[in-house]
This record gives sequence, structure tokens and C-alpha cells, in this order.
Amino acid sequence: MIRIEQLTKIYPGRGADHLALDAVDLSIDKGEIFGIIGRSGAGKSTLIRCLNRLETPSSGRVLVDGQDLSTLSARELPRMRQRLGMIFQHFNLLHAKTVAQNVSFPLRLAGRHDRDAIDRRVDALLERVGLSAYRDSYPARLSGGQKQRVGIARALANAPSVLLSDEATSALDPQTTLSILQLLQDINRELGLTIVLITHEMSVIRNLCDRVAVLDHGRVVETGRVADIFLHPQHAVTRSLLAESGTPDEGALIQLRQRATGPLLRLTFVGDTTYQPLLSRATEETGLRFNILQGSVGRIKETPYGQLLVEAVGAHVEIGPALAFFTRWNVHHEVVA
Amino acid sequence: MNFSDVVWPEIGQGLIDTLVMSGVSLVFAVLLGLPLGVLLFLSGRRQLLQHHGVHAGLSAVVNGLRSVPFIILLIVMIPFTVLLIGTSIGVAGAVPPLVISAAPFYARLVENVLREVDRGLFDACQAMGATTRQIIFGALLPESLPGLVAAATVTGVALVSYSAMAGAIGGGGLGDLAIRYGYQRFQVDVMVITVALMVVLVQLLQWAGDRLTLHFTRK
Ligand SMILES: Nc1ncnc2c1ncn2[C@@H]1O[C@H](COP(=O)(O)OP(=O)(O)OP(=O)(O)O)[C@@H](O)[C@H]1O
Ligand SMILES: [Mg+2]
Repeated sequence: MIRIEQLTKIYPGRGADHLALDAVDLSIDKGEIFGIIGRSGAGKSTLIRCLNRLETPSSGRVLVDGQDLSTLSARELPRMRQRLGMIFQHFNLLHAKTVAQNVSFPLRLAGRHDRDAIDRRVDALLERVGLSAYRDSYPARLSGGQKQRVGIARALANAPSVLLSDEATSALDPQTTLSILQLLQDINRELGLTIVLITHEMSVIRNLCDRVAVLDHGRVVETGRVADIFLHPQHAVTRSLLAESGTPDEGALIQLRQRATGPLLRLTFVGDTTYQPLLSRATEETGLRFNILQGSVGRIKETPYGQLLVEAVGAHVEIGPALAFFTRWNVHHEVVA
Repeated sequence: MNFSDVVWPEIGQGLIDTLVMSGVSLVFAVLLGLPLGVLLFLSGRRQLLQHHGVHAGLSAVVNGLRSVPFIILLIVMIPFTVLLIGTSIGVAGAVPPLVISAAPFYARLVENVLREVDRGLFDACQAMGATTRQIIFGALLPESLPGLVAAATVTGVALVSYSAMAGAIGGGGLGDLAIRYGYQRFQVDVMVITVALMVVLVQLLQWAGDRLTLHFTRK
């Protein structure tokens, strides 16, 4: 669907130039929700703005459906952009237009003039985002969540195949954030819409995304399925972003390790194994007992997971059979040194 | 001061002349100043049609015209005015210099009003596939309409007082009356009446402009 190849963006600066994107390679599949996370200034906005050419790359390519964006003429570019909807942190609605006029604006831009058809389309979109009652209100009268719903309806007006979301929930409270994320997820399912979203909040990634790329100083430092990244983060930036989102942190581990007498194991259950009484079974089979030192259970998107840090205790601690047991049950395990 | 020998018909005519002079000049000042201001804005740094040469050129013209004192402009423009409309006196003769002085003023105000439009809107429009033309007419101008009306009001008020100055070289209107009767014939009563009328006129203009601005405000 979208291929990003060696994408580099340099902002000329006073004195030194600023390397905002450094040879980014990414591939985004049709129908998936792809998250890009990173700290402030990592280059997230620059990256997503290169996807519809609001920003011109310094080098490298962006291909949408095999079409290289840099080869598009000034006439072709608007057509291509109509296939890529975009929503923004600060909504960017037109204040002088009503909700309905905001939503019909992209239809008119696309050269559609049949008023009845436009009205029907607008009504359907407003119904979909739950704002039918606000058809003729002006944006100034809406709450943040409602404004973002208008933004979403507007972005969907020309039935794009991709939705780009630049921190769409960052200006909203947690409750409203959840409802907007839910809406995005529903739209993704119903319309098979590919969504590329950037955020600095891990919780957004966890709730919504299928895959994620972690961006740091303009570079992709880690990319993969969200569950993998969450449960087995490799890069320091990923770990610290996770730590801030309330996942057990590494600092406490040092203390735990000093207290423990037996070997420490980190066990990760994903999907069905989450529902099994596996620790008890392991005790039955191996004679080892397990002391849970730390743990978290929850859901990543729809997938249940559990991650436990356990200490193996027993008269003669022989860890081999236990590891074999966990391997058999598809429980990811890691001996914590 | 008694008001017995005030020539009321002449005052009435003066009022009409002032209204016509400033009204017609305002229309032309807006017609010229609006595109000029839009171009000034769009050609500016990091704007949609960024072009240093164009921006610097327009800016120099605007600054140049605005730095000439109006009374000088009136005189300097006489040959041009005669060429354009055949006379340099009367209501018609006052209009060209008024327009030439007000248009750059309005253009500058327009540029400032447009700068207040959130840049995010241009991003949104471009992302929706809008061309620059569509952005100007679909977003930039409608979004800044209240500001543009307010700027036109300011320009209109300036035109009322400038039109009085045009009276000094035989432009007609209340200013002309004030000078002829009040200054040259020492008829203080005429002076008082014309000034009072101008004050009321400006008040009314500002009030109407404010109402209109508010009417278009959606924020
Ligand atoms: N137009 C610009 N001119 C110069 N430098 C820029 C420009 N836009 C962004 N930058 C710089 O590029 C870097 C990346 O910016 P970007 O906006 O992509 O970061 P971000 O990850 O979206 O951050 P945030 O989370 O704060 O939005 C920053 O250091 C920023 O200062
Ligand atoms: Mg950003």
C-alpha cells in the first residue's frame, strides 16, 4: 500500500542543517493500522507529512499503490491527496463553515456539484461519526471530541483508501480519546481503510495498532507487531516510552534480583495461553514452585496477554525442565540474569 | 455664534458629497487593496506562493505610496487625475487620490488580517487536495472575512477625514465647506456643524462596521 524508501528530510537551519528524517524505510500494508511513535521532535509529523507531500522529502521515495509521489505533476498531486485523508491534532476545521459545509468542502474541491448527492453523502458521514444533530452548527460550538469527529468525517468524504492521523487525540481527554480511537478502529474494519497514525502515547498504540515503528532522532529504531514490541522491546527508547505508559519498569528489577534466591524468569503469555493455569501445571510437572515478583495482564489491541516475572524456588532448582515445559506451551520465556 | 445665516442646502450637498467621495473611494480602495493584500500575504516568507522578488516589489510600492503625505499626493496626482477623468476638482477629482492613498493602506491591513489565519487550515486544505486558488477562495478569504470587514471600516473612517482634506483643493464635501465658510469667511457656525456631522458620520460608520464584523464572526 505505502512504501517508504530511504526517506530523508533535511531542514535548512541557521548555521547547521537539521536532519529530521534519516533514511527511513517502512512498508505499510493495506487495511492495517500502523502506528509511529516517538518523542517530541523525533520527526513523526515530518514523516507523516511526507506521505501526502505536505512536506517535500530531501531524498528517498514514497510510493502509494506503487505510484511514486515525487513524479506527480502539480495537477496530479491534488487527485492523489484526495485518496489520502488526513486528521490533525488541532482539528484544523474551517470556522466560517458549518459542520455540514466542512464535510462537503472536500467533495466540492474534488469537483462534485450535484447538491443532492453531496447532501446525502454528508448526512451519511455525519451519521457515521454520530454528529447528525450538529449538521448546521459552527465548529466553535463543538467540544474537542466532536470537532475531531467532524475532522474524521471530512477526511473520509472522498472515500480515501488511507487515513493519516497526526496526533489526532493528543488534545483530548482520556475518555474522549478512547471514543475517537474506537471510531477509528470501527472505520478501519468497516471500510478496510488503512490508517497511519502518529502519537507519543504508547496507550494509543496498544489500543489501536497492528504494527508500530519507533522513531528516534529521525531514525526508525524498531518496528514490528505491536504485541512483540510491547512484550519484548529491544531499544532503549521503546523501553522508556513503555515505562512511562505504566508498564513495569526496569528500575525495580534490580531490587528484586538482589532479594531473590532462585533464578528469575520472565514469562510472556499471549492469546489463548493467557487463560490457562500454566504456572500450577508447571509446578505439577517439574516440582518447582514459582514466586510471582512482578506482573501485568491486559490487552494489546484485542489480544490478551500476561507478562510475569517469577522466581523459581525449590529444594534443587533445576530450571531446564521448566523451560522445556514453557516452550511446549508456547510461553515466551527468558531467564533474567 | 447664531445659526441664522447657515446655508443648509449647501451643508446637505456637502454631506452627500462627502458620502459619495468616501464611499466610492472605499469601494475602489477595497477592489484594489484586497488583491494587493492577498498577493502581499501569499508571496511572503513560507507562504503558499512564496516569492521574494514579488513580495519585496509590492511591499516597496505600498510603503512608498503610504509614506507620501496625503496633501502632497493630492497635488502630485493632479495631472494623472485630469488624464483619468478629465478634471482634478470636485467630487470626481478627489476620488483618484483618495483611492491611491487608501488602497495600499487597506492592502497592508489585509496582509495582517490574513496572517492571523491558522496555518493548519492550509495544511488541511492541501491535504484535501485543494489547489492554491481553491484555498484562497474557499478558506483564506471566508475565514478572514470578519477581519477584512473590520479593516475596511478602518479604511472608511480614514477616507472620511481624508476626503475633508481633499476639500482643500476644491474637492467639495464637508471639508470644502468648513474651509470656505469656516476658515475663509470666519463663519464658525458652519465649521461647528460640519465637524459635528463628520463626527457623527465616523461614529455611524464604525458602528455599522462593528455590527457587520460581528455578523460574520463564527468563533
Ligand atoms: N519547517 C521546519 N523548519 C525547520 N525545522 C523543522 C521544521 N519542521 C520541523 N522541524 C524540526 O524537525 C524536527 C522534527 O520535527 P517534527 O515536527 O517532525 O517532530 P515530531 O516528532 O512531530 O514532534 P512533536 O511530537 O513535538 O510534534 C524537530 O527538531 C523540528 O524542530
Ligand atoms: Mg508533531
